[in-house]
Amino acid sequence: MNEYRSELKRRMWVLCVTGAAAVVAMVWVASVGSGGLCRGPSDATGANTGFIAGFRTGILIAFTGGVLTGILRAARAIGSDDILRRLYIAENDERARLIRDKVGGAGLNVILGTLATASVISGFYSEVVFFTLSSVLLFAALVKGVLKVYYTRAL
Amino acid sequence: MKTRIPELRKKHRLSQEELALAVGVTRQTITSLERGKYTASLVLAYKIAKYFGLTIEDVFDFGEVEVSFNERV
Repeated sequence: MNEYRSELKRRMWVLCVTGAAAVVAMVWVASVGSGGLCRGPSDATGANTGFIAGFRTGILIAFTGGVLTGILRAARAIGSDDILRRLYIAENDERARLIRDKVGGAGLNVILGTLATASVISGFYSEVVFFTLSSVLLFAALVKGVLKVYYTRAL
Repeated sequence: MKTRIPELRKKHRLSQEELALAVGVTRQTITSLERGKYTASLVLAYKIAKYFGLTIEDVFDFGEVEVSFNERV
């Protein structure tokens, strides 16, 4: 369990640095959004106001919340052997891992299928949307292909 | 896959939580094993069998696996 405790301490440091970076990014995004100190290049298009700005800030708030939860969870586990053991079990449980793998595999296939369908349909209406969707499709397929080759060789 | 885990737990007066902690899985995994929804890995099957001082075949029923394979192939 000492090895896992050391791993959690390392993870806490990484989370602290990531969290701090997220807070800095949030402050920067908020100031761009309000047209304050750091005025962004796309202000004229309205991309830094309204829904898009709210979405950016929301993503960063959710990310920071996740990082804080991770830090608190790790800190609690480091201080108690019982919580440490339970966290280790929760993170390494074989059934939970199988569920994660299945969700990831099936989820990626659903995303690929949906993107392919949406790309074809969008081609009739908008060239920009078509190229955006097909680029994402290509990227997702590439990720799947690379992972498949990696795991075929590794296992 | 059918198992004798519920019967063995009762015999040893163990809760699902206690067995789960002893073999390093969550309580939900033990529940799934007992209901036959999830098939344990070789390592987990070994740990459970060893915990009760039995062999893997004493705890897990492989008859169903053999029948299913013969029916499919």
